[in-house]
Amino acid sequence: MSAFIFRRAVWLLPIMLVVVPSACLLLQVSPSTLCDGRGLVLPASHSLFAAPENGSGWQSPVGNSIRLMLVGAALGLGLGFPMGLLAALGRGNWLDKSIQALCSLFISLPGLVLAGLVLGVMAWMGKAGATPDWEKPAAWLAPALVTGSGLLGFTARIVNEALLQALGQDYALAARAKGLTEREMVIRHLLRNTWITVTNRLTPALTSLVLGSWLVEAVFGYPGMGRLFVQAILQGERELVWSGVIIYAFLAALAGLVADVLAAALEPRLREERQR
Amino acid sequence: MVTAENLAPVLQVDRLSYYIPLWRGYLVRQPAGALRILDSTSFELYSGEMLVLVGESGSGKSSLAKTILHLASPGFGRVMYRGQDLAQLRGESLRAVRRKLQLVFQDARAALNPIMPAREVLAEALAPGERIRPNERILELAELVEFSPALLSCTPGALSDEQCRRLGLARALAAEPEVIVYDAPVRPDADQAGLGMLRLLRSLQSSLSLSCLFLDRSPSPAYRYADRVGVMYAGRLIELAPQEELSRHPLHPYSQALLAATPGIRGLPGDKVLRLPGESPRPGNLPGGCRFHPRCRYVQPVCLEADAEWRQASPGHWVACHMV
Ligand code: SF4
Repeated sequence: MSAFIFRRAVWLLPIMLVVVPSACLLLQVSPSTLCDGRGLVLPASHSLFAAPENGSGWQSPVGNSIRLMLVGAALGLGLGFPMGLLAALGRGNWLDKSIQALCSLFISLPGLVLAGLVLGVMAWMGKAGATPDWEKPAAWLAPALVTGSGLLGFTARIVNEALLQALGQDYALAARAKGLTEREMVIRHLLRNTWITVTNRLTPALTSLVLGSWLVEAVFGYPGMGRLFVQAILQGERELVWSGVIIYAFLAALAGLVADVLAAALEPRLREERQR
Repeated sequence: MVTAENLAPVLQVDRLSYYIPLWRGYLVRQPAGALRILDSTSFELYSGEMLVLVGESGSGKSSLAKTILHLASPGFGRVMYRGQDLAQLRGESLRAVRRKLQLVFQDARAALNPIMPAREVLAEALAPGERIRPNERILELAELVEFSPALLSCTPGALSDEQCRRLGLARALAAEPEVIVYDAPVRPDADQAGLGMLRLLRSLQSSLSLSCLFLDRSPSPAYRYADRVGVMYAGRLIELAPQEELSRHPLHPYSQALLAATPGIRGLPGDKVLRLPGESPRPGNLPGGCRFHPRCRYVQPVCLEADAEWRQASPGHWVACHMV
């Protein structure tokens, strides 16, 4: 397994080798204020990595952003899986229908729009306005949920699809014929297979979570990279934009790696195939 | 050979039907008839016998198998196992009866969980009393169906179709069933393998006191090992008789044509092949009246009006045809 992770991680190198120069090139040729004729400096000790006074590295903008992505991903997967399960087991009932509707909403609305909507609702409820205290976990909930919403909708839908499909398969019938109860059948035969389907198709959802998060952060005013990134674009701080692009590209590639490793951990056959 | 009639039936299948309802309408769903996959099929399976039902693919064999085991719920009719109506059973008692009626699926590979190794497949199916020493029993089962023990750690992806099939049979036997429903594969090159399995089943039958319902596409391999043979056409059992009797005196025009077209079955009146015009109807557009009438040489006005009753033409010889 570690060999697999290593080999897969080596692939990050060529990806970054393509991303870094092309980001540089794009910035050079862009006609905006970003191009002021100066060369690019390497993003070493930017404000991106600067932690607030007496804070740890996790509280730097990059750390904050990564935390938000992690919480968002955990919420998306953690809520999406049981929702898909409930929808599949309750085929056609009101719960199934409302979960399906919610998923379509989450999948089709971009995080930006959803974030605006959530803020609107919060304002209407009199909860927004003052800058939230980002130290409190409760303040995280809304941006993290919005960040994870696409993944949530995606997971719920895939789980639902995969379970429904598996329920109609002969091996589900065979499990029933063996005299297993419905619950034993779902737990022993279907959940693991469903989870494999989910992890196998996770890569695009995770990368789009990473890439969507900065807009969500910007809308919520969350103290992460996103806000700085937007400021940098507006104020023409070229180095900051460049570092931002590279960091996001790296995180997205990393997310792909995580998804692949998860999938391979569950299905040994896959591991062998991808190693070849 | 078992003389069926003087034994108690293990399984009674009474006018069993399986319909898939159709709907139409964009906003409001309205019923729009049904696909009649299986229609009023009745027979009994006697203790220790080998009953072979033949019918081309699409004649409802697989649906019959799944409906008998209540893996698909029947539209009408009922299935009785030793006098118990399966539809009345719930929960634990239904699961107990299901273990007594085991199915070997037509697509053996699809019936195996793709990520479950063979050993686990068998372990899970073992009767509760045997879970104490599972390994010995698993090896014993593998030997019974001639499945190499070296393959026990493989997932289905690494097994051949034939091995999947044997594993499927071993899984069925693991539950210590009384009835095995064997749904033979549809591939045309499967005849030889089918014959092997039939021989294997036949030998297991006597040692394990199994009753066996063997569903096959063509009558030729089935014939040698059958006690009784039934013929299915377009979703209905249309004739059923002891093997010898059916070879000598097939009564239904479809059975006559089918047997005449099958090499190696002796005792037919004349030896000429009867060619049938047209094709078997699909479940969506069954003809009214007798489902065979568009292709039948003996068709009469009454055949267009009503489906024929299932009745005994002579003791033990059942048929559904107006003209017999
Ligand atoms: S009932 Fe009539 S149409 Fe049908 S098989 Fe008999 S003779 Fe032919």
